[in-house]
Amino acid sequence: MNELSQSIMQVRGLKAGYGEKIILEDINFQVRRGEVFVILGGSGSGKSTLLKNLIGLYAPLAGEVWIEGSNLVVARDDERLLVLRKFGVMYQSGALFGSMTVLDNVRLPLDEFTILPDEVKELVALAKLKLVGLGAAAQKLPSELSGGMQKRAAIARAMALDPRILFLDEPSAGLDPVTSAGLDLLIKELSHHFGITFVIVTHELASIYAIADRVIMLDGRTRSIIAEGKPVELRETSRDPWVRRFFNREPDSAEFEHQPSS
Amino acid sequence: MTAASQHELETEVRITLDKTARVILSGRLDAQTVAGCWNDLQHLRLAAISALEVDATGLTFCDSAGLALLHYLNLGRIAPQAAVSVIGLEPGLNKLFLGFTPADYAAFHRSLHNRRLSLPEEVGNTVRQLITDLHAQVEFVGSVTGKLPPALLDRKQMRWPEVRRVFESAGANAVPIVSLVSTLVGLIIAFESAQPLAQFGAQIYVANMIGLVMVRELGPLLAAILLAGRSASAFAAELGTMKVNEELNALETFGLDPMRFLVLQRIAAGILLAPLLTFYSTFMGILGGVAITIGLGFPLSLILHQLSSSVHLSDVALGAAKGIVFGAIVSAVGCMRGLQTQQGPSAVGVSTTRAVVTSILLIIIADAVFSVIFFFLK
Repeated sequence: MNELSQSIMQVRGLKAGYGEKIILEDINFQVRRGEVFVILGGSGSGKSTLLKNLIGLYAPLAGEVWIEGSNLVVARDDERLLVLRKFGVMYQSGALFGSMTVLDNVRLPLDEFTILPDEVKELVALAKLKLVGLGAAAQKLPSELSGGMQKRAAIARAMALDPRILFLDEPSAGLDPVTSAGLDLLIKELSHHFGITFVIVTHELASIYAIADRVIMLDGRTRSIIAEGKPVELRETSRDPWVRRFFNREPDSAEFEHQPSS
Repeated sequence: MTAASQHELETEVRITLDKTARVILSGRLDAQTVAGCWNDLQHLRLAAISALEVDATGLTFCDSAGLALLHYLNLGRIAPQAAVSVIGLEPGLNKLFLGFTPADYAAFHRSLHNRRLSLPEEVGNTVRQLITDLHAQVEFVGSVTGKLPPALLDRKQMRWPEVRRVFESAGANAVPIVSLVSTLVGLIIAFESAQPLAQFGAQIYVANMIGLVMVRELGPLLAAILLAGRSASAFAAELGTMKVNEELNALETFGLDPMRFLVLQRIAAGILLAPLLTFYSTFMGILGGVAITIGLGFPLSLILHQLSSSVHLSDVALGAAKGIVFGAIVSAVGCMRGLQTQQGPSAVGVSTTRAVVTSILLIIIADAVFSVIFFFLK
C-alpha cells in the first residue's frame, strides 16, 4: 500500500508492437514519485516503442498504463486531457515549432490551457527559459539555436504547465560530453528542487551513472525487462552477462543474439 | 469540502497612511487562483503608493504561474513608482524566485526591441535579396549554358538512364492531365466563341481561331504551366531534400559536380519533352474545338480545310520554339530553387513554392518576348 502511494506511474502487463509485430510483452514496472527513472536497452530493444506507449502516442496491444491514478489506455477524451497535462515530453530532436520564437514555443501550452493574464504568461515562460539557462535566447527562432540549446528549450516547453513527470527521449543523443553533462546537471537540479519525476530513455552510460536513481533494461530477444535496479548494483551483481557487459561497456561477440530477429 | 479549500487563495490588500501597500497572500497561489488575485490587485495601479510589500508567509502552495505573478509585482509593473519587497517565501521557493531577476527581464525587453526592423531597413533588405537572387539566376544560366553542350556530346557525362527516368515521370506521366486540361480548354473556347460569331454568321471561323490559338499560344502555355506545377515543384523538392539530407555535400566531396550529376539531366529531359508535350496539348485542344464545331453542324472536311488554311508551318515552328524555351525555363528554375534550399523544416516547401511561382512568371515573360519578336519577324 505504501509503495503504491509512493509510485506516480504503474505499468501492468503492457504488450506493445505494430500490428502483427510484437515488440514488447508483459512489461511491468513502477516509477516512484520524484525519482529519475531510466529505460535502457540496446538498439532495437523497443525503448522508443515503450516510451510512445507510455505517453499515449500509440495504443498498447494490451495492458495498463496508470499515471497518477488514471489509466491512460482506456481514459476517455476529457480524462485523457487531464492526464496529458500531468506530464511533459521532450522529443529526441527537440521538436520545437520552427515558425515560433523559443518564448512562443514555451508560451503555447500556457496560451491554450490557462486563463492567466498575458503578462504573467510571458513571465512564466521567461522564468522557465532562465531555469534552463536560455534567458538570452527567448526571442530567437529554434533554427538559430545549437542542438543542446534546442533540447534545453524543449525541456522548458515540456515544463510550461508544471508537470509532475517529464519524459525525455534520448536527451544526450548528438551532444558533446560537456553539453550532455550540463543537461544531466539540469535534470538533477529539476528533480531535486521541484520534485519532478523523470522517465528517461537513453543508452548513454555516463549519463546513466550520473543521474539515474533506478533503471530498467529492455531486451529485444526476450521482448521483456531483463534487469531492474540501481545502475551501480546492476553492473556489479547482475547475473545476466549481457547486462554486466552493457554497464561495463565491454564488446561481446554473442551480442547479436540479444538483438531482435527481424 | 477539502477539494474546494485546496483551490482557495486569500488576497488581502492594506494601504497605510504612509502610502505603503501591504499585500498578504495565503492559501494556494497557482494557475487557477492567479487570475482572481490579478483582478484583486488591479486597483493598486491607480493608488499612489510609494512602497509595496508582498507577504507570502501564508502560502501553502505556489506553482510557476504564482511565481510569475510575484515576479510581475517585483518588477514594479503594477506600481512603477513603488519600492517592492517580497517576503516570507519558504526557502526553496525563494531560491527559485531569486533565480529570475529584474535584470533578466530588462535583457529580454532589449532583445525584443532589437528585433524590429524599420521600413527603410526592410526595403533595403528586400532589394538586396532581389539583386542577390538575380545574380544567382544569371550565374545559374551561365553555368548551365557552359556545361550542357559538352555533356550532351559525351555519353558518359550525361547519365542518359536518369534522363529517361525524368522524361517518363515528368513527360509520359503528365499525359493524362495534359489531355484533360487541353481538351477542356479547347472545348470551352470553341463553345464560348461560337455564340458571338453566330451573330455574324461566321461560326465556321471557330475552327480557324481554335487552330491558331492552340498552336501559337495556348498549346505551349498549357503544357508549360502544367509542367511547372508537376515537374518544377518535383525537381525543387527532390534536389531540396537531397540538400537538406547533405546528399549534395556527399556528391561534392566525391568531386562530383551536382550540376553535372543531377541538374543537366533534368534540363535535357525538360528541353526534349516540353515540345512533345506542347504538340500533344495543341492536338488535344484542337480536338476539343473540332468536337464543338462538328456539334454545330459543319462537316469534318470543311473544318480540316479551314484549319489547314489558317495554320501555317511558321506557326507550328513558333509553338515548337516556345515549347523548347519553356521546357528549359521550367526545368532550370526547378533545379535552381532546389539547389538554393536553406536548412530547416519548411525549407523544402519554400523551395517548391518559389520554383512554381518563378517558372510561371518567367514563362509568361518569355511568351510576351516571343510575341514581340514574331511581330517584327512577320
